[in-house]
Amino acid sequence: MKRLISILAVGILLNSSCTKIQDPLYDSVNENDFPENLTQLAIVPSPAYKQMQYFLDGGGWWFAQELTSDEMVCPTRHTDWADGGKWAVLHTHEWTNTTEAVSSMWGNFIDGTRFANKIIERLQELPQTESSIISISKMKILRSYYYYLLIDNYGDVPYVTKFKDAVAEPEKEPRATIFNNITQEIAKELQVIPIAQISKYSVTRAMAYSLLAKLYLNSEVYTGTPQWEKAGKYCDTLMTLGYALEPNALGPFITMNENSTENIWTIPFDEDKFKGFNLHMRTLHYNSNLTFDMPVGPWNGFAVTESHYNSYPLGDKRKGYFLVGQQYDIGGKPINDVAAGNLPLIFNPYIPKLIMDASNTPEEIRMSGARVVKFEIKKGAKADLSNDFPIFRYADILLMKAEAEIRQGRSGDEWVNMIRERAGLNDLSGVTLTQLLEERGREMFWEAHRRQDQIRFGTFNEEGWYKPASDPSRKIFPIPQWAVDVNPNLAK
Amino acid sequence: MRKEFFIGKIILLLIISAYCNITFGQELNVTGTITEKANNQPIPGVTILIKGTTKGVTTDIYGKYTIKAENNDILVFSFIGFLPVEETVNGRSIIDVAMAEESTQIDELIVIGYGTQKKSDKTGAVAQVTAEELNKGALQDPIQSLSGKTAGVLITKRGGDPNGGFSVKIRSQASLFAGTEPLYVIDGVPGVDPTSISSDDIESFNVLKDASSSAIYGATGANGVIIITTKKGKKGKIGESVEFSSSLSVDNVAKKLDLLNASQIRKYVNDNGLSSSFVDGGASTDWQDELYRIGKTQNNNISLSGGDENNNFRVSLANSKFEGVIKGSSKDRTTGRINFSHKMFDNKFTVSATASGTVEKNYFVKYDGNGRQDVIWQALQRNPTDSVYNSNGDYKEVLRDFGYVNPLGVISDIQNEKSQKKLLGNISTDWEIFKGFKHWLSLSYTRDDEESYYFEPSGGYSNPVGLGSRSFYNTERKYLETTLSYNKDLFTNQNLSIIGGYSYQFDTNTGIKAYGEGPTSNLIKSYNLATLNLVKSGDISSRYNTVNKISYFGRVIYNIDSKYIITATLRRDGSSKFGANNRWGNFPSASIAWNIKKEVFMNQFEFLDQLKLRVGYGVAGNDKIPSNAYRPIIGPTGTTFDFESGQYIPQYTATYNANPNLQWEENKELNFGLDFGLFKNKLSGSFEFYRRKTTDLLVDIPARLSSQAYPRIWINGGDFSSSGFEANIQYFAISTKKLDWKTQFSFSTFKQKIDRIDHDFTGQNNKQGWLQGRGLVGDENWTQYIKEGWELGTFYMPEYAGISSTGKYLFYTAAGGVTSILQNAERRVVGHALPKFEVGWTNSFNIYKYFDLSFSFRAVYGGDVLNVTRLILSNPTQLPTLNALTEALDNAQKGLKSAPIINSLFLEDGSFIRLENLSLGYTFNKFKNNNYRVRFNITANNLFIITRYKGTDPEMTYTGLSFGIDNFNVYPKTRSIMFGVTLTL
Repeated sequence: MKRLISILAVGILLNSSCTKIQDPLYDSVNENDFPENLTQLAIVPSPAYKQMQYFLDGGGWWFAQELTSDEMVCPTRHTDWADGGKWAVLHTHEWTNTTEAVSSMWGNFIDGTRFANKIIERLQELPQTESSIISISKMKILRSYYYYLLIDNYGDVPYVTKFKDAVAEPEKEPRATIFNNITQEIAKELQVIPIAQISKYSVTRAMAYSLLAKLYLNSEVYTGTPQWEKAGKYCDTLMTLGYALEPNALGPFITMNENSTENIWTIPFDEDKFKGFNLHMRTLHYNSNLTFDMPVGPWNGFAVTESHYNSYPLGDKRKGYFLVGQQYDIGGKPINDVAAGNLPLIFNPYIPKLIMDASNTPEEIRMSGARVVKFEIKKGAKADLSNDFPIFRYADILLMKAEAEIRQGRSGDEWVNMIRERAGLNDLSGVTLTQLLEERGREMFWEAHRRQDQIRFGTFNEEGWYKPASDPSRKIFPIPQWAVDVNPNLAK
Repeated sequence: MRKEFFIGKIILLLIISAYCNITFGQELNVTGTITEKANNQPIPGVTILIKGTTKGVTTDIYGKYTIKAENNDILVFSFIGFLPVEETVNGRSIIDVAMAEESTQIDELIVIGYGTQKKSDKTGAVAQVTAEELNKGALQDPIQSLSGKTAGVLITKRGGDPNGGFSVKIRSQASLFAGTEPLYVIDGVPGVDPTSISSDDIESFNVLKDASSSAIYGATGANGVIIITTKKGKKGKIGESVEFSSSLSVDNVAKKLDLLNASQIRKYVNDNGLSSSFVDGGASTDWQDELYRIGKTQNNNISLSGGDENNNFRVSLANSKFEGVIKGSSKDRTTGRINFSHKMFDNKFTVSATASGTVEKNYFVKYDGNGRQDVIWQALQRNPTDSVYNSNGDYKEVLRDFGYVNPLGVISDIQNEKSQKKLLGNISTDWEIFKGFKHWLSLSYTRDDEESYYFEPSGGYSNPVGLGSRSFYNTERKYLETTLSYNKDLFTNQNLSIIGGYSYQFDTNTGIKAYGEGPTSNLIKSYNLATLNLVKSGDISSRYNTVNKISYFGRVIYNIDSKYIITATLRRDGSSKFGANNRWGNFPSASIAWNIKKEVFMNQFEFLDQLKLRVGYGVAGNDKIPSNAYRPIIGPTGTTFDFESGQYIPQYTATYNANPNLQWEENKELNFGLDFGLFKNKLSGSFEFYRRKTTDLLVDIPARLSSQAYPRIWINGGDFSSSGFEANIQYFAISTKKLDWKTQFSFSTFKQKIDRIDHDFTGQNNKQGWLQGRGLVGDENWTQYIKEGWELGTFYMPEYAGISSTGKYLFYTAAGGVTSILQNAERRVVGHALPKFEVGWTNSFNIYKYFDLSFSFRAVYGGDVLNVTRLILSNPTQLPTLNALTEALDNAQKGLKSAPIINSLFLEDGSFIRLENLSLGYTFNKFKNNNYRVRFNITANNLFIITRYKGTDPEMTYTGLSFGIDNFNVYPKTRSIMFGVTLTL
């Protein structure tokens, strides 16, 4: 016995496994062991794309583009949607560098750029193949897309294109410099992508042309120098690629819109596997689930501004975007709102004020404002929709082309009228910029274009509904406080 | 019991008596009975000597003695294991003596890491609480018995959830993101879950409070160490003992909220002319009464113990059943434990073995938010005119408002169960190789299994889609520790004690989880997940990872005449939780005690029995972070979309960015202690003062650098300090045959400060105390702020400035004006969640040796509580659709029209004094067999509380980065009465 113990004691001290720490990996791998095969290689770029999953919700982008504009509003419905004022300040243009949408959008875009940088360097480390060379070009274009979003929303931002050797606290670059960098990079890299590669989700030539058209269309805002001709040129190129308007004005927005001939680049939402499209929850009334046989009750928030609702002329098929009047359940029975004294649920486009309180009636609080069903809500829809959300859409390209022409003193009637005809409206001749902005408003409504359009057309800072005229500095958002805390150079 | 022993003693007695009778037959006859102080049992075999002579007798089996002595003789009563007693005859012919066991007095042994020490020789801040001092009553966890018993150990629990654990903080918290719970060492095995033992198995708690004491545990000791010693068969005592105890307790909700009832709602409707629009459900339901029930706790314990000169054993089995006061919440725990030890090879070698097992089943209800499944919120907001049931007996659902669900429907719908099993096996050997030189080896194996069942039916009240999941997680730990120690007396009065050791720990964490949605059977629940319609890749997952730690440690204690005692320790720890650059760390400590009373010049102070000064300094560490936090590891994490192929495929990603320099937090602490005993130790106690600095705080932050590819990173991102004062005082106020009264008092206070935080930590991370509730969603609804120079739990909120003429809340602005817009209000420091001090006061009485009575008060002073429950429910704006507090009617009168907005008006004083427990016991021992005893007791917990707090209960746990917020997430505290009986045979 004694001998046994002695042996044990000495053995312990001499055995190296008893003196050396072991840290094997079983259920995961070291960074350098990934990707281990082609299947894994294929998903290496996915983190950079994945930031788009948050665009319509926690990422803040949709809120910042729509709720600051003249077409959408999130009124405070007494206790609901007060939320510390984070919605109301978007409408009144009183946001600060801690307002939620302003804060979260920054992180979402910056993450997109650094994930792209990381992926580019990782792909460069791995043995080069034909497809990895294409992937690298796509990542560079995707990175440029995030920089486009950054300069569009924040103006001057740091421009970082390295990963491992990236500066810890980069300084801001002028908006115009970044504009030049990314337009050049996109034009160069798109050459690498084979024309035959067609996708609504991955970066394609069509996506790159659309992005360039968008950048040049807004060149005056970003750089002070307009470049309408280039914008028009890239629209022309796109028009040769075989995209076409859907016959139905609501066609691009159906639940199964994967095969739409009109959508160029989309976020591939799925109710189960790629969640993030829950705008219907934010706009529909608590009891609207009865209309669509939804298993969840929506949240009764966002509504169309009355002025925008009234901007659709009689006969405009796009009025189908909205829910107004008495609401019915799926069996056709009128819905009553128990909490509003069991009154019939009738959506009224009139919204009494931005911040409704106990002095408003329950009907006003709960039922005011037209609601939006531009994207189809299928029977039994869940808390997240499966409709893909278009970032670039052919109808937009047509309107951009028209704008580029009008801006250069030529007629844009041809393209504007294509859109109007589909909407069931008569043709216009000699379309003015004001008319074009109105048409863009009606056609591109709810697709997160309105802030940018209003800035380009100079109406963004005008007085609006429960909104005094705002300072021109409001055309960009402040870099959020948290980001400045982390990188003090951003305050410079 | 003790039969052989008795016979021996009787023979001895006869011989001695005979001898005495012959020799000293001519003097004054003194007689008497010697009893054991603790239980009034007679002690046979006590030696009674006349001081200065060899004349003596021993007591008979009834503890009686007769001795002839002269008037001024001093009788010395002595018996092994008991303190000697001296009595001068002084003409008395009857002298009865109650003898106290040695170990209950000041020279009991305290347990320090890897050894014991005489209490009078201790050099660190170590506090001991023995079984008889612990809290009694309906205990939900063994650790609860320690609450309020020793200063500086704050054991708190929010509410009375039988499945809610306790927060244990030794000297407040030392860390922010790394764990803040202490290390538990049970019978020498570190890291054992303290819920795996029954409270009846506990012999004592020893708490190592300061870093000089806990540094022997190195990288795991930063939050202090609680050493639990379990009961063993009594060493050296021969015979067997059986103990059986059983108790039943009934609990009810101590305080309900003052909500409106149905007739008050109807009156409100009429008074405000809303009768045409209000939908009256037609019933009068008190939803709190419907949700709550009388809780029940049943405890049954049986233990057998025994031994002889070479062996001792104890076997115990305990079962506790808790039915919580919220319907559907319950816990059933069974623990079994076997301790055995055997001496061999001329008592030079001892082998001990322990096996223990815990089987626990939990049934949960959810109540921590304002969602559809949060039953407390649903009950509080539910309209009292709605009935519980439909006419067909189903739970009634009515579409009154968003997220409005019958809480009883939720409880009956959801399956939320957990089944836990914890096993421990330990074998240890003690070998005295030669005198003073010992080897100790301990091998242990623990395995914790946790199996969860969760199911929400399709078409149910709470989630119409339905889902199901099962998980099975296991943790296995292999532990080896060995020490060599040497103890030698030097010169005449000095002692050297050296110990050196090695420990090796290897943990393996495994598990599997499956999840899915859309069940096609609601009857099968989660028992067979094949009923689920929608399962994605990533819904099935499993894990396998390991943690390895290796340590070397040593300690030297040099004791000069128990007057000067010096302790020095060093521990070197290696852990797989840290990267190659910082895998190993050293944790030194030193402490010294000066027993002033032993100095010659102190002899003049006769009333003073003990006066000792202690100073200690040590460095302990904290490694309580997830494994692989320092390196990016890539693993499958669910489904993602392949943007190239348009297919859904498993996603691979990492969570943490690399930080090869990540290292332990270090907790450096300086402790001053003073121990004293006065008037024959009638009054004794200790004071502790400490300053502690935690450096290299481990913090988990979002990764924001351009060179970081994964969402988060662990960094050593700050320093944190605290200082405090603690006092423990006990006073044997009365100590007579008829009445013993002992009173104990503990006091602790601390101050805490964040000295430095890395600027990477700022941004969103320092906003804390996020609220949940209607209209309280989003970025502005934080209430606490982490800032250099401040303490945790600092409320930083808009300050209430009144109500505007239009009924809006007004707040002060930075410019000195007022505003009704939260974003424009100035954030100010309006309160502190941490209490200023905590006091515990325990009294125990022993009356005629039959009755024992004890009661304990606990008070917490200072410490604000943000009553969000009241912020929302005192607001009249949802009336009459949803229910509210009666206070809402006053607020409606005052014209309040604003939605709930965070502000200082709802910050309330959380100070309280609580009668934690009151216990009365009766012990009957007049059986023919002296060792038989029966004890009855009745114990009440939480009989009353004095507080100005308006919510259900002000007791908060001080855990994490924010605390002190009552956000309708407090399981009601209960008032309970327990009846118990204990049989000892």
